[in-house]
Amino acid sequence: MQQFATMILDGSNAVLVLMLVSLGLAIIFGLMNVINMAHGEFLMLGCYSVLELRNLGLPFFVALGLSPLIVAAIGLVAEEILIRRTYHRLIDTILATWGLALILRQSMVLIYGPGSYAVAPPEVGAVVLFGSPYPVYRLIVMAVGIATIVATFLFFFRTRWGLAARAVIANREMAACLGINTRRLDRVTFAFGSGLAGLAGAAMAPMISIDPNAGLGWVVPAFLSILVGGLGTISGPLIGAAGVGGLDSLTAAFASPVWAQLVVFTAAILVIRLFPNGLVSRRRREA
Amino acid sequence: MRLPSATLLGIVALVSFVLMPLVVSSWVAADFGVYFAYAIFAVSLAFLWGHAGLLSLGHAVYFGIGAYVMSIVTLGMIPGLPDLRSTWLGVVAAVVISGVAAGAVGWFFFASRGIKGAFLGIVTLALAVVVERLAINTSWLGGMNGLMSVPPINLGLNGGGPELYDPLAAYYVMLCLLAIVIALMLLVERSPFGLALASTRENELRAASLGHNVTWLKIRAFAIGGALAGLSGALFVTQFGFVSPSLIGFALSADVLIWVALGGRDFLVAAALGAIGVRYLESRLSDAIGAAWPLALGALFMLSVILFPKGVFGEAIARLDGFRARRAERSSAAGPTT
Amino acid sequence: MRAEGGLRVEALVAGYGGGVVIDGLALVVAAGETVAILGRNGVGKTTLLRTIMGLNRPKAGTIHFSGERIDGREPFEIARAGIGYVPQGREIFAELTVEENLLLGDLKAPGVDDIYAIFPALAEKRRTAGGRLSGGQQQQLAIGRALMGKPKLLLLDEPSEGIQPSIVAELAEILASTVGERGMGLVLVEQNIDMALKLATRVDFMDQGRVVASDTVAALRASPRLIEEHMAL
Repeated sequence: MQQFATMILDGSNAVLVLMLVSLGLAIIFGLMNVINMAHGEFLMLGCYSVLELRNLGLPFFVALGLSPLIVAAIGLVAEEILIRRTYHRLIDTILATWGLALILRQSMVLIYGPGSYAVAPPEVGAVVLFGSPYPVYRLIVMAVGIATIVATFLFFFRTRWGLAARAVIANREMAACLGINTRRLDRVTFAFGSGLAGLAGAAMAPMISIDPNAGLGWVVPAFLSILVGGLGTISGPLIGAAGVGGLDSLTAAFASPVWAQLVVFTAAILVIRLFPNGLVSRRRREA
Repeated sequence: MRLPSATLLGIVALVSFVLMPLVVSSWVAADFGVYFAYAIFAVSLAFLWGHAGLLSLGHAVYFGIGAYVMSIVTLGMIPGLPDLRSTWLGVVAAVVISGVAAGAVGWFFFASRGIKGAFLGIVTLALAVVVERLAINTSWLGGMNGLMSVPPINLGLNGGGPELYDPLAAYYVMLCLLAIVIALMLLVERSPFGLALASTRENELRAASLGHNVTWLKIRAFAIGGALAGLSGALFVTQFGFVSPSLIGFALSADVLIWVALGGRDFLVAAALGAIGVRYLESRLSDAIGAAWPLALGALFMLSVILFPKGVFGEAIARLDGFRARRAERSSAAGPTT
Repeated sequence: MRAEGGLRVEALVAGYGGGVVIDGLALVVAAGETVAILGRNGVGKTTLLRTIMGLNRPKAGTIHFSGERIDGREPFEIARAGIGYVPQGREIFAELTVEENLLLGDLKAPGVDDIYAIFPALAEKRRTAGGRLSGGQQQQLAIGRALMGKPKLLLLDEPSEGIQPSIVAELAEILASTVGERGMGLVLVEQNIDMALKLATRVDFMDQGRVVASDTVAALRASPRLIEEHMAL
């Protein structure tokens, strides 16, 4: 029972992080029609950012707060230099961001070497939950994840900017014809999406080993989450991430971590094949 | 009759490669033998992506299947048939099995309301990760280490014959095969099947309304692309000597995408030259600039996507075509000269 | 054509991919002038509006609005310069409410009561998703949304399409009075000749990608020969 509770908590943790990553990816895709293959690398940059800020002597939670902003700024630069030159060419966005991913990974190899680093978790101790001790830091990560997701929802559904963003997702051309500044929205969107990945990476930093390939394993599960959940909504990718991340945690716990990814990807491919519009399906405008 | 610029470039490249061993050492030639195998792989993706409009982001699966099948056959690993070691059978089995696998994957993804465009790319990429995991976790296939000491091409019916050991001989055999593959695939592209496929790429609905069975066309294209990738994998492993899970999954799938995009997806010759060019640069530059090479490749790739969306050689072919068309127009406008 | 809200299109060439749909078109709409563009299907009327709006890059030619060159600008810049656009098929945001659809016409607007005054039917449906409105109400919504931006020139692409005749007449009535009150210019692409004659003071006829004839509505009422010539199948 205690083991089970810990498992559920760890699973929720993994699911929430995947939700942050998928949400960023889905927002970038939904608003900009850009398939960002470098999304995992922005997560990796979040890890290195925490590492570097810690080395500069900043307290952990300051590093955690600053890292998404730093990664968002890098995203902004990437958008300005690269991404905006590939608009209207969906396949080319895959290629361009694939090249970007290569560059970001290799830059980290050149700066920090190919080896891995660790960041010490903040000393926040553990609490007893359901009869067994559980690290408080993991609870904080969950809280940050939930707060970010809620804030994103509030932004999208309670502000005029969010209204403009939803209009662009639904019909980019018409939104532009109403005077919505799509150029500025694109910049903000890419920075925000990258920032979400950076936040996920920063939060994960003390729990994983940090190396240039740290982001590599994320982009495929995140895309599968989006496709499983369905495009064109904000809740779709979250539901997809819950399914993908949850199944992954369950398989890892009850069968073996070796087979988890295999099972999850296969299941996701099957779901995508059976429900090409995703589980939270919605009629997309013909484009 | 004027030759298309793509054909012209192909002939110039072929002649250069035929003459090249006169000026380079035999170990450079041996490297190029491997590059030619990669070039066949690139041609298979260019056919699928450029001609049929089907983006396979996990194309290394079929290359890997070909390489593993060839290794299993020539290493005598088939259960119950330890004496079977035929290179010939290996090639046939590699082509057939990878082709059937690709056809099955194609059927799964394309039948009824199929998966299209960029999403096909994502699911094929996920599939490549799955297959890579399977290979890593299958001890019969050597797990993480893969299969080693795969013999070179053996001309005997069931091994035992003369081996294609000499790098120069292997070089010319591979060059020959590459040229034949490109010529054959060009014929396929111009056949009624190939033309129907091209019309499907341009507009699926219109192709369907013209009476083409779009799903079946795409499945066949996927099978052909897979079979060709399997052939390249089989040829690769006879020269490289070993096969590992990295050949069947994410990494090589990413590589081949870059070669084809950088070379030019619209012309088979451009894709082949892209593969050869990148591999050659990589071998030269990774010594010279070390870890900065992938950085340079990434930057080059990004630049090419922005500046030459048709790829470097693809753009060159397109411009040459335009230039020659204008010149022909000018000379015909100048009137017939005697 | 220096005046605020005047449109001048010169030697315009535009199309999709390699094909040319608009071929050397010239069009002048003075500030506050209302012009209907008539022509058979496929002569390039919708493409013309899309090109003015920046949704299509022209291959050649220039477009000036209020004295400024706008061809090659982004659609949002053109909208902000003062051109409102009601596209063919209305393109309302089906999942957003009526009120949200209207707000998108001007994100800084304090409210949408001006539009409710023009189209009272929309006020009753303010919380309804746009996609659940009837065709006529969707058209009102699309027009209301464009009016929110207080345009100096309104581009209307077949507002009568797919709407009952009785409602078309009502819509024409409301539009005519609103355009008049606001002193807006209007470029109306129509198949419905009654609507065109009701709203416009001048009619331009298009064929094969250019304006081939033009006359005032008063003259056309007296002698509809041009209409028959250009609209007959």
